Amino acid sequence: MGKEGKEQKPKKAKNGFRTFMRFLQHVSLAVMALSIFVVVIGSTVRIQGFRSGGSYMLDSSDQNKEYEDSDLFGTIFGYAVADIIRYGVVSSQLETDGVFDGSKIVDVTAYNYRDVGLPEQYVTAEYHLEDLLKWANYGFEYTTTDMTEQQAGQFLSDRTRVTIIDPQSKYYNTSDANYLKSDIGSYTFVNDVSANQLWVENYDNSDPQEYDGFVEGYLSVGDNDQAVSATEEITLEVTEGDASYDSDYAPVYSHDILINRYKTAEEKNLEEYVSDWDLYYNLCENVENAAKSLSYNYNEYLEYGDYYSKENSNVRYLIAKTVGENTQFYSNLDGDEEENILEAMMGIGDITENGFASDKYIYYSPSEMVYRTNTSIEETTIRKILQEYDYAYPETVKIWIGVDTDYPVSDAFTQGAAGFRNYLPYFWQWIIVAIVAGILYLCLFIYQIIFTGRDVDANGEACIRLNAFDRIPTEAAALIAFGVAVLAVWILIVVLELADIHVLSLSYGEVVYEQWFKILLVAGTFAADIVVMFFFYSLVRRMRAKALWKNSYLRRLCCKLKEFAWKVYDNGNIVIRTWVPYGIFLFFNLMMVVWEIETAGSWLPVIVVLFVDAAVGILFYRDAKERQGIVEGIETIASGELEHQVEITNLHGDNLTLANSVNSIGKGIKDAVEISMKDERMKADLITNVSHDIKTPLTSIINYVDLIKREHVENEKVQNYIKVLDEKSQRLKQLTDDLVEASKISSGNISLNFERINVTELMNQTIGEFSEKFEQKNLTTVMNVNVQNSVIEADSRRIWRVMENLFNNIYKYAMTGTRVYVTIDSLQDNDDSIEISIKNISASALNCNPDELTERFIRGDVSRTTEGSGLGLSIAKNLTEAQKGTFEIRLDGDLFKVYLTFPLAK
Amino acid sequence: MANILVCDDDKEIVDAIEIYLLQEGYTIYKAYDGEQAIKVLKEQQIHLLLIDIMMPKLDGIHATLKIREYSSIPIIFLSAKSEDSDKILGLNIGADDYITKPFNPLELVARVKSNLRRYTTLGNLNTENNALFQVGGLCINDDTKEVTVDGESVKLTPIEYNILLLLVKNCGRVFSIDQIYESIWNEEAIGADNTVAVHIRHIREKIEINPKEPRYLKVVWGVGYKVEKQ
Repeated sequence: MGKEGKEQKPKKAKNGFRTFMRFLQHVSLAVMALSIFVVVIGSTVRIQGFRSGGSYMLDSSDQNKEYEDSDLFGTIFGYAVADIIRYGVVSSQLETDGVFDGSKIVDVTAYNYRDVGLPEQYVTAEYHLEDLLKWANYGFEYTTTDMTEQQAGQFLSDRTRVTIIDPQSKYYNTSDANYLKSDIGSYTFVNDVSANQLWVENYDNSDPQEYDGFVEGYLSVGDNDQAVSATEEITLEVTEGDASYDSDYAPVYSHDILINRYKTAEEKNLEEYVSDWDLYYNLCENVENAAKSLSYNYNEYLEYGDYYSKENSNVRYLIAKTVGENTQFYSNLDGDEEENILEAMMGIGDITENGFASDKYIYYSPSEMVYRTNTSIEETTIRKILQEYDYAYPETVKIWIGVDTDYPVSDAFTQGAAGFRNYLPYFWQWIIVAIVAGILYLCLFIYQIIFTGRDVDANGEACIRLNAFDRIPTEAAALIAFGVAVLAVWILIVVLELADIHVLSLSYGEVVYEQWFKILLVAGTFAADIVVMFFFYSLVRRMRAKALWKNSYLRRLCCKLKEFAWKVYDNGNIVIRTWVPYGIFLFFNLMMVVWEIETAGSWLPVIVVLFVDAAVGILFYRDAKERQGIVEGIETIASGELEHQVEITNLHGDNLTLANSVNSIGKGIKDAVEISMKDERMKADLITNVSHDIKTPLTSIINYVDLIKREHVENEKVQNYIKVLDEKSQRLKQLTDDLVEASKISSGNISLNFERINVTELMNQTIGEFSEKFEQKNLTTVMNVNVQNSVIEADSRRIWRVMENLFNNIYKYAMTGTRVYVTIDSLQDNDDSIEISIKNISASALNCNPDELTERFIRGDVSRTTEGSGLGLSIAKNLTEAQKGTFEIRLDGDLFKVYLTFPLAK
Repeated sequence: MANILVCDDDKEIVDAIEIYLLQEGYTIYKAYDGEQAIKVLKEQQIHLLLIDIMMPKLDGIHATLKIREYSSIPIIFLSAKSEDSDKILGLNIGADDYITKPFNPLELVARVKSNLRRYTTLGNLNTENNALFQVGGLCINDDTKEVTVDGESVKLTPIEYNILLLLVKNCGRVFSIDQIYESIWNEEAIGADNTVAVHIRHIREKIEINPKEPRYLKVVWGVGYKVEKQ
């Protein structure tokens, strides 16, 4: 137990270290996410302005500046200035003496022409401001009416009312023209002029009260040609009507008529101001446009008023606009403050020493060419803004806009200040933290990939340790991971929805500025990393342990299917094994053909069929290959390589049985041969050993017989005995030598040294060697050579031994005085071999089987009294065969014939 | 005369050899195993050692190896082991000759004599004479037409002499029957003939101690004849 405990300890420490590293990894990712979030969100200051609402990227160049000197402040202030100027414009349109005035009278045409300037003469109508605003809210409706020329004449006024601007008027040509009666308070009417006049001339404005401005045949400005032609046409039609048609048959025209929801300030309808359709439509259009524009401005007016009220904004402004003797003020200042500023504006006091000296401000007076500010906003910026509204701001305007840098209320400036002060001083720190955390995360990630699951098994070898989750089959794990991912995405969607964040449009709700959102982000990132890495490292461990495929349901299924298929295949009989797969194959192909017909033109069935047919082909090929392997194995065994075993791994069914049978047969044969070889070798060894043991005493016998011979014994009898002893001892010697030789040859225990042998030469040498012996028995040798080439391959000493034995045989058993025939001939049916035949006449009758003669210890004379071991022919035959020759003895009466054949050397 | 040590664990064989060698006038020392043999060799001046291989205590092979560390006397193995491999082993480890049991006593004596001659008298022969041909113990003086084997004169017929001279002059080269015939008879060899083979056998019987295991004139069966270089 103690030992185990000791072994466990470092392992636990290692696991603890890894867990800590894992924790550190998650933490570093969370830190990185937080830093990136802070950098992205913090660097973008969100300003909740009216028109200036939006994001502003903090610039690191602002880092060492005061907030009030930064670009951010400048930008916010710039937007505020633009807003205030705009607000001044709409205020002037809608207010009278600083209060909204719904009863204000609006000259619609003049209003529409406010920024391009009015012509000298124009047609217009005047409405109360509130009527126009309401009308714009409800919408302008037209009705289509069919009218004859006459009815039209009755509908429209018979005269057009024209407004003529008096060139002598001191208001004429000012940008602040007379579209707002309340602003100007002065207008001119043109008196009635004669019906045929196209242009009002010589009007008299000495009595403006009598002049109502109505003229006949007035042409709309800039539309002269059209108006003239229209007039001509009308005239023509009237003429024709007078000449040919009754008034009942007068032509009917369709006209779109504006429904007069509200009457003009004079309680008139619009059609009462014009005598011409074109003018009428122009007027309608002017009314509609003016109403819509005013309505839009009214909305702006309300919003600006609220946004830049003293209660909601740190911005203070005062605009003094002087038109004629009238000076109008637009301001959100308190009375006292207003007084101070006003004094400064009028040049009584110094603008920088009043009330807001320490605050940020701009002061601009175009008429005096004075521009003062303690901000970064330049004069040209103001001038450009003012240019857009030159109709609303006369040169005499004076603008003062300031910011209370005590920031008593929360607005865009305080938001900017918060972003600026909270974030900018730590800009680089956050970026460095993000980078460091990112690098740390990457390192730990790689570390974990390399070391996750690495462990040492019981044998001290490195292995991959899998935890409980890793042992869950791959598909199940993947499913769990998928489920978790779906859940996480769902949670994310819900959270984003709740926080009102739209990731794609990059617009974040207010919540991203909340502290709890950061905590949520950190916690969320941390949790997400834990979950993702849990699955990811599991995947890594599986791959490292090579368990990804091994531990999958798919593989188990495949294995089961394979096992089942082989089981059926191996256990079925051969007919089933052939027909069932063939039937399935055929049926499958048929199905695919049907499918192909059904889904004409689809490639899918063809591809499937190709795959399956290829698989079947491979199966057949494998089967055939297995069989081929077995056949080759059988051939190898048959050719003598008894050790050969057919490879049985990967074999199935019949092939396996076949291979096993072949292997056991081969093994049986091999064993039998080995036993027989072993026996033969043992026999040879035994004979060799015995012969050694015989030789030693035999040496003494021979030596002492010889010594006795040397004693010159006189006794004739003793001399005979000695002679017998001598002969028999010599024979015994020969016998032992031959015995050893014969046993060695038959046990295959000799090594042959093949060389080229000329048989003719060999026979001559042999005959020469035996010439003396043959002479003793009066034997004559007759040699015939009938071949040119008699070179064979043989072991020279062994083939001499064959010849020696054969000639010794002849010497011993041939009849005295006969001839010995030695013939060298080519084989009749084989040119590649030669035949040596040796013939002699036996002294005694040969009453035995020729085959027996070559058996060991068989001799021509059964009595065994003569010289010789009885092994000569046996040795000769065995040696001949060992040298790839054949050895045959034929007996023909007393004629003893030996035939030797050898293949010729190549 | 020379001192000969005979070493064999079979006492009768040692005694028989002693009888033969005493007849030739040699002094005989006897030992019955390898250790005794080495002991005798140290105590006495021995000129030739006849030693059996298979012996108790120290066998012939190991004894020979030890003796060869300090002595170069002729050593003849005397063994019942008749395999070629045994002979080759014996000769390779330092023996000068190898006689298999059962042996012919005369052959034994002849080999002993031959080895002693090689050891004591021959070996410093003057070979400057152009007419003098020597292969091992075989010596031909072409001036005097005299042939000696181990110093003993041998009588050859003119044809035998010419054949032997041809083979000794071209020592190591194999001559076929036809080639020998053409060189000696100066005639074209007509077909097969065993005349040369018969002459060769005669020469062997005259110059070899054991014609069946010739030392000088060897038969290359199926090819021809040669005199082995020594």
